[in-house]
Amino acid sequence: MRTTSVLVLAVLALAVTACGGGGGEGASDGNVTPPPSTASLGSRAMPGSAITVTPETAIIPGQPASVLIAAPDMAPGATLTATVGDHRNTATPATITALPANQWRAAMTLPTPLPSGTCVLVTVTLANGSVLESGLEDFVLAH
Amino acid sequence: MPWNMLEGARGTWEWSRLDTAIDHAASQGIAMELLWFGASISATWSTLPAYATTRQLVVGSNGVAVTDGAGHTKYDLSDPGLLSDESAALTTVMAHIASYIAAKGYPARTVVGVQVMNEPTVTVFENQAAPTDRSYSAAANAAWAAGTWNSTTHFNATLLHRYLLGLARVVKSSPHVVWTRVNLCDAWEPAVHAQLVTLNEALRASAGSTPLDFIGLDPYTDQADGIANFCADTTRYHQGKNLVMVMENSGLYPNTDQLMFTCMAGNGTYAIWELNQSIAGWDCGLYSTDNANKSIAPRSHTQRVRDFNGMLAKDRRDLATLSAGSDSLAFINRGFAAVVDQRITVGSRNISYSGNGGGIAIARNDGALVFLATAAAQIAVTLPAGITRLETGRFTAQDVWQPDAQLAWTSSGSEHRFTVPAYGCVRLLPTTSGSGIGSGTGLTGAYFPNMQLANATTVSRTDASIDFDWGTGSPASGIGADNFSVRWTGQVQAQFSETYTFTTLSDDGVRLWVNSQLLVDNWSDHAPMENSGAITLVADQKYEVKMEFFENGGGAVAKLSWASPSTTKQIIPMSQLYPSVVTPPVTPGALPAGWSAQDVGGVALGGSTTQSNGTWTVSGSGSDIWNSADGFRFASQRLTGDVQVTAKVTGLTNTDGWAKAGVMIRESLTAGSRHASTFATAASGLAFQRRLSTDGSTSHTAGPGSPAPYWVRIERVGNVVISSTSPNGTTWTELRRETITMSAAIYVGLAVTSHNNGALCTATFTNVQVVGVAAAAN
Repeated sequence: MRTTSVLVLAVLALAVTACGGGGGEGASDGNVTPPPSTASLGSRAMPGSAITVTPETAIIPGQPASVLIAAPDMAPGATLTATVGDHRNTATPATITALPANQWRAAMTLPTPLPSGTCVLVTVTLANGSVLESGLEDFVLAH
Repeated sequence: MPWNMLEGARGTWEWSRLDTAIDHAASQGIAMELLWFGASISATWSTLPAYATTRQLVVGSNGVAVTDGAGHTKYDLSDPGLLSDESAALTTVMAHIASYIAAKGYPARTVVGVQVMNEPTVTVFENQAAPTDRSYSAAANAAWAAGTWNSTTHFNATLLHRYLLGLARVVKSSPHVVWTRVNLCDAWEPAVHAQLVTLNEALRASAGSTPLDFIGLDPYTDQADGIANFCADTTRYHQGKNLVMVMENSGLYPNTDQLMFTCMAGNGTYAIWELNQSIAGWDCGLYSTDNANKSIAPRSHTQRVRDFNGMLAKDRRDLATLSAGSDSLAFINRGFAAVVDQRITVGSRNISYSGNGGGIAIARNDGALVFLATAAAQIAVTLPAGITRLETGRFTAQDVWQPDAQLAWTSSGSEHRFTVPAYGCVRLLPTTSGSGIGSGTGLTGAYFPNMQLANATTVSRTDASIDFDWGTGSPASGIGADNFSVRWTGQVQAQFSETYTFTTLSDDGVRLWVNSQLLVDNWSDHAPMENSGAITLVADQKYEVKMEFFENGGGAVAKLSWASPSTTKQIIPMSQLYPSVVTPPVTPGALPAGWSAQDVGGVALGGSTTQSNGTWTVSGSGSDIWNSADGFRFASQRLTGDVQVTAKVTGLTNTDGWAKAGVMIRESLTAGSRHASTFATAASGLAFQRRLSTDGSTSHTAGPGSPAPYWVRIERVGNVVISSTSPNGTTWTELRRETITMSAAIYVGLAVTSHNNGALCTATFTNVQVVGVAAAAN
């Protein structure tokens, strides 16, 4: 301890024990959704409901961004996740916040550079276990 | 925990600080190590209670206490009274820990260890040039006279070791036995420190001994690569079985996760310590403790540490049992630079790594390769026999692999490339040499009684291999000895990811295609003659093969061989050849041999299926192919093993936006059967849909939003089902692959649902191709 200060508390926290893996999703904050600032990324028919994705922020590589995901006709009990990337298996999870009226906000920090074909991949899990995945051509952030 | 904070005067104890720390550790599930501060670097910066400060100081040969010029003095570790005082105090502390944990009902692991001394030295003061002499106190002189010493270094290291062992034995004989550790500062007395580890390892090797469990270090650098070198230095810390535990590394470095990584790379381990935030400039722990407000908050880098630990937990068994730097475990880019094509070898496999994070490559005993990376990394691995399976996922605590998803890769010859996601774990199952041996039964041979491969075949059979020398005889009943031709079709399965040379030996003319590439074209009368062509294939993959042959007159020979760097030239064996099951239509309007058609599930209107000149027309009713039960029209063959069905959906009527027409593999003809399908829809784009369990729910992955006409394909390889689409039948895009366990024998064909029960959706298909082996009759 190369310090002349008096230690008040010194304990060693073993890192592997202290920190488990994995993260968590944000909970619903009930905020009113602000109007989108840029054009919609499009809409895709999915079993049960069309899904529409609309950016709420500018799409700038390396910067935080958020999109609004709407599935107005989706049956109750559906949960939603989203990832961002140009390949389904390597896409990075976004932080999801549930909003009223079958809407969700997905927040993420965009990769830099932003490869062409980078898109928002939406996955909806229905109450009966069905999994619905949007396509790599549906909600493209970078053409 | 300074001694004088707990014991202000002899026998007067104040436990609140220690108890608060234990409470916090228990509440967070943290395993805590007590950092005990007794006799340490300087007497001036003493953490000793007043009653112990009268103990012997280090003195020079003149008998005067040695100072560093700034008035700092140091306690003499040869003074038995000092060790006696400190041992008694530590005995009381350990007894309190045991009783407090018991009284609170905390797990014993709440306190797992004691650092018995902080950065000890024998004669050196902090920030002082290291003297090479010893103390000349009466106690030190007596110790010197009582022993035989190789050097002053040997003497000083022994004094230090004895003192530390005295404290360690207190811990080991206490009611709360935990590990013991000391952290050495790399700047001071390096020779003494190296000797200390040597002495401790020698003691560890003695039966019944009580050595220090760990001797670690405080390297004071954030050079990730440098810390790995500290840890791995076999002349100092990395001796015997000593586990180098890196701890205090100044408080200025936010790259804690990187330092954890690099410690592991040096076969050490990294412990994160917690300091009071009020000490300016020392900000290295996981949390900020605010004593005034009695709060503890995570710091900015805590999430990175969490993610890093989450990554390590994905292959905990291998990381705990394999040694860094061995052929089984390689740490890559431990300097966290932006590297491109960094070459390493693990498990005798050549690997290229590109990325700006740290990577770990593991060669497991079961033959699998495992890759971990703190940032997305591009991996290229050379595997002559190819890849059997590539997945993201994790190993359970029982070391059982739990896949999350299939991972795509690209191949160029024997090199295969893929991306490891950030903080991800990828397991690669290489195709072992020789495992590419297939289960083929030969090629379909269609024999024609003319030299032009014209009109209907007289004989159609499966030939185990193409290895014929008919001489002047007939090749088959009903075929003459001259003026005949043969077309062999099917698939060839490569054993290795290599360039193969295919060689025909023919008399007379011959043509050969592999994977639609014309490799041999010698369509002429000639004596027995070899012709060759080369093509690069991937192990285990099957490729379309077609060989055409004609015989004019005289002798007749037709043989097909292959060779590759791993394959001596040989007739292609039956195991690598698979017959074509695409049977040419025999009667316009009827279904080809092997096909049948029926309605599946509840349909309000009966469907129909016809085929004419390669165009299939399938009409089906039914509510949908969705949820837990289907209703649709199905034209199929019953095949076994690996199968593939491809078709061009040229159109379908819009009975509903979700009317579907496509290719399907299905376990049974019941409504709730498992299936996997690639569909075109009337107005909802293309999709991969599947039911993973009988009567279970159905899942959906969207493909291109295009309408028909579009090409669709579904394929089963082992238990993996692959869905693909193509706008032109040439360029294919994989939508998704999924593991679906179905029986070996399955139905493979064309499916149509109107999604409007009571209406018929009519779909048309062309270019229908089914590849597989016919299943035995039910």
